[in-house]
Amino acid sequence: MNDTNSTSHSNQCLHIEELLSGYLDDELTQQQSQQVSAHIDTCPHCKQSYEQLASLQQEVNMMKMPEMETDRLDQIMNEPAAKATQSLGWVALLIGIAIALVFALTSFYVDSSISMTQKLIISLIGGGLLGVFLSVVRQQWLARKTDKFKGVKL
Amino acid sequence: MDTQFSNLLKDAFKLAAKIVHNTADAHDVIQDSAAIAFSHASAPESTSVEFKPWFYRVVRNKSIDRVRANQVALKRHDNDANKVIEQTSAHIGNAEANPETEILRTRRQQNIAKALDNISLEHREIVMLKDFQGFSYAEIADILSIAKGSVMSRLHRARLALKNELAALDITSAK
Repeated sequence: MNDTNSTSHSNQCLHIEELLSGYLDDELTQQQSQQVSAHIDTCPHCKQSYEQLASLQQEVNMMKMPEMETDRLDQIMNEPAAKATQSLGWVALLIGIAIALVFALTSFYVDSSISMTQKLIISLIGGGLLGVFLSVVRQQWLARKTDKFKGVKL
Repeated sequence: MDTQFSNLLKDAFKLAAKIVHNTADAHDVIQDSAAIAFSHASAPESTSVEFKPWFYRVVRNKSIDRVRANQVALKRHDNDANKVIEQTSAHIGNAEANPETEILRTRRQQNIAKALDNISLEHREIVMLKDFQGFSYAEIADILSIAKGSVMSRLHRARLALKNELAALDITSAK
């Protein structure tokens, strides 16, 4: 409502004005609704405001909007199945690697043809590499979690 | 559930596109929101009545996160905003019939899209939720995490802002 008109309005118009949207959306109490209905029957200005709001609502409702791409929609809809297959693959792979590792380590340590010194040296190298690898992974993971610019595409 | 869910994604995409102002980011927002819907423990059952407002709340919040992240690259944001308007106009341009009334109608619809883009995000989202998506006040209060009593006044202010913006655009385009 513009300012030049509102000066000539009664207090009732100002009160009704606030309720026009609720009336349009059918969200008022029965009493409020009757009050607005009775008022706009007698006040051409508020009636006009109401009609403008109603036609604007209709125009927004009929507005053409960009549609989602079908490819992206399909991709999202298929994601749970794809993810499940992928997780299953990872689980199988990790179990396989773990079994192979346990088997290799056991046969390495029980092999009597390798001396204790050799076993110790190889264990230290292996353990050291694993330690370095794990610390790098941990660092990367922490950086990823706290990186506030990761969502920004430049 | 599948068709219902994909229709929900398509509708929510329109809200996201209007908030983030570009379709590429809107696709990402929907993808992220769907991933949350699929995996989040607190997500309501997808067949329940609470699911739709819950999903819209996720989409709305993700869209706002995206807007904030994009403020780093404001220029690109502006270019894409024009792209959405162009796409919208292209849609409208496809309509048939009487050239003169068609031109007027097209111009009016372009102005509505533009006016909606020009008003504040707070106003734009509430107009979209009510007038385009058709949610009730209770659902809107839930989606926007505001008191139900504030919905009517905020919506009314938003509609007035849209009306004023539209009037200004109609005057400019009539010149």
